[in-house]
Amino acid sequence: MRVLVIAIWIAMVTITGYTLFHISFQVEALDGQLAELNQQIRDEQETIHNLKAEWSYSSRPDWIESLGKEFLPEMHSLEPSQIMAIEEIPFRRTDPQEAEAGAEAASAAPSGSTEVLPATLVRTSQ
Amino acid sequence: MIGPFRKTRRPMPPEFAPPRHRQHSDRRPALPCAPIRSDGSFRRAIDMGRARLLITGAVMAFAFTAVGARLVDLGAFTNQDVASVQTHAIINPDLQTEKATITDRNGVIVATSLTTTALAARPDRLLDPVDAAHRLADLFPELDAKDLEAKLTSSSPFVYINRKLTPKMEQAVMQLGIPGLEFERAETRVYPHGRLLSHILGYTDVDGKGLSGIERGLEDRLRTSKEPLRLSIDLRFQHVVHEELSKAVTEYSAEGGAGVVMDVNTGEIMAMVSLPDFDPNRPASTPDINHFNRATFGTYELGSTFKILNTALSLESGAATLYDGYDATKPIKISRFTISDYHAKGRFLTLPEIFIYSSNIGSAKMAMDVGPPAQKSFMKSMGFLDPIALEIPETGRPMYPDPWSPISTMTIAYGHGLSVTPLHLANGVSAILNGGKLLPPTLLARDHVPEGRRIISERVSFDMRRLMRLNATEGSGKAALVPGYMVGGKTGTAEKPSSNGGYKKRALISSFVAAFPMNKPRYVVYVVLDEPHGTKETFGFATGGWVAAPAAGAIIEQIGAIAGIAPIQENAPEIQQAFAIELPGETKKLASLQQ
Repeated sequence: MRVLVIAIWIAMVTITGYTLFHISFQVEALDGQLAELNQQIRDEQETIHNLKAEWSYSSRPDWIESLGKEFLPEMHSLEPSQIMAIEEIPFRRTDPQEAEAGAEAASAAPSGSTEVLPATLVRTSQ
Repeated sequence: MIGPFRKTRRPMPPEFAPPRHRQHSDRRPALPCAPIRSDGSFRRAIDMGRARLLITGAVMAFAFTAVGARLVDLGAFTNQDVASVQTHAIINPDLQTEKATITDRNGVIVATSLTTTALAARPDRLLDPVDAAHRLADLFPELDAKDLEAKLTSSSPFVYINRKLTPKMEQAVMQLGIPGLEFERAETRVYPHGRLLSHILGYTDVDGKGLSGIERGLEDRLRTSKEPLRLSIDLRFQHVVHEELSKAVTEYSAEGGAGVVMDVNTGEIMAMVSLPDFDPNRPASTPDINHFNRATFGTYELGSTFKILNTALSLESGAATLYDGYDATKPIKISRFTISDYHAKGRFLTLPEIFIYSSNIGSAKMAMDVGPPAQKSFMKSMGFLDPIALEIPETGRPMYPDPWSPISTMTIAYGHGLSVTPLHLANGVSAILNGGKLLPPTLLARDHVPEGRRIISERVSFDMRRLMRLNATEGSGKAALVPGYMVGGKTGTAEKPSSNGGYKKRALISSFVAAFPMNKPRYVVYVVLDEPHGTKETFGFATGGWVAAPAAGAIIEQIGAIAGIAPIQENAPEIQQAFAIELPGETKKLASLQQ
């Protein structure tokens, strides 16, 4: 009986001790992992922060303007005359004869082949 | 566990002793040195031992209980000290810097703190300072070997060698392997847009302490709250104003200039430029004069643009109506001064004519009808006698005559004798055009627009819009017209006061204040040039209509498109009717019909 009690005690102490250390080591390992991850997050944040500043620098209006002048020489700044209300755009004519003629013309020519795209979408100089 | 020693150790009376003891009662106990006797000194010693054992046991038991209790406490309950230890991932998506980021109204970063490395040395720990100095000087071409040597051999415990190291340089210094050198993580304020916002943002010293502008004015806000600070400035507007003002300053070889764009309905400053400017990343690389903020700190006699205020005052006070007029045939002679007209008509002028021909004589007479006290109190209510409360510390104090004599009243009517900052004027004109409510101007984005203080009635405000529109179509502001945006404006040309008391004929402050669209004003644009010089294209003129109005027009054309303002049918009958002002005599009828 006495031996049994002692054995149980020793077993309990061993198990407790083992569990304690095991958990302790696990926590330590997780702690390390967390610290590492947090450091990674911080590094990423710093990179993002720097990139944001960099982006702000690279999108300076004067820089974009100079690029625009160099590579899009045809582009002009928007003029008030280019803006109009949607009501001002005339509706398509709904003349039935016109519509028929249009349909015939469309069926006669294979769609798309005769369509001529404008060379540029940009307003040409007046 | 502490054993039940009491039970076994207590001496038992012989009659209760176990049989084994009784059996061997004649024998000596097992312990050779401690014979058991039930009496005498030996018994006392045993009692004492027991007592000590008991105390030790109690202490141990208490200690174990305490440890146990603490274990339960730690395991089962959240503890304050433990909770402060970081046990979770960083969830804040933004990097926490010492000083908050500043953005424009659309969230574009205009100032931020970047982590940099500073290289420092502890001279007392250097093994060979001279050698170290030479090796470092090789690495940093901008450092002088002699200076560095002096620094490293000095007796100070800590010296900075370079405050901003790039990662590459840091690596190179590390590879030198000089003991006694230290790296320090530091934050540097960076302004990605350089000169664009120089006077608004200001700049900081090497430790990030704000020395001017927002950096200084809102230092506490930037340090306490890490939320980005949102300015009222629209970077695109700012760029347009900066560009056009720079062009004008260069073209007319002006000493400097200022440009302000304000939202008339909210009091937000959308753009504010002062030239010459500086790069806040390298504030020391420009002369000190460039740090002078002409838009908010410089006070000037702004000339005829004051006629907007004068006319508004005259109409508001009831001293005159749009149909009244004044005799402007002869210059006014008062004491030793003569008030004459630049574009003299030499006849009787109606109020709208006084405005569009910018008649000083007429304006002076209008002001005298109102009277000096009323004029002073009007200027006071407009905030023209006090510095503007703005988020930056550089705000100029207006200079006004004391006492406010009749002659001052006359000159102030056309913008001489009262010096205010360009921002004062832009804000005053905003108030006159927005329906008559003066709003405190701000450099921060406004979510809630304050109520504002009424200074003129809505009717007078509308009359002023009509007059400014008329001046743009018929008067001196034609150069600022942008078809579709219904621009209205007023020129101003003032002679700069000379040091010996009078005025310099050749040194002008030429300005133009415009607003658009006049049927429902959104923005006020104010352009001032300091000492512009006429060119061949302007036929040698350096007045507001020639040098400042075209710049204002160019600004309006671009910011109108950026702001997405729909163009107006300017010759629509209802607009023509609302804005028509009849001009008598030589001037055409229904003047605004003519484009």
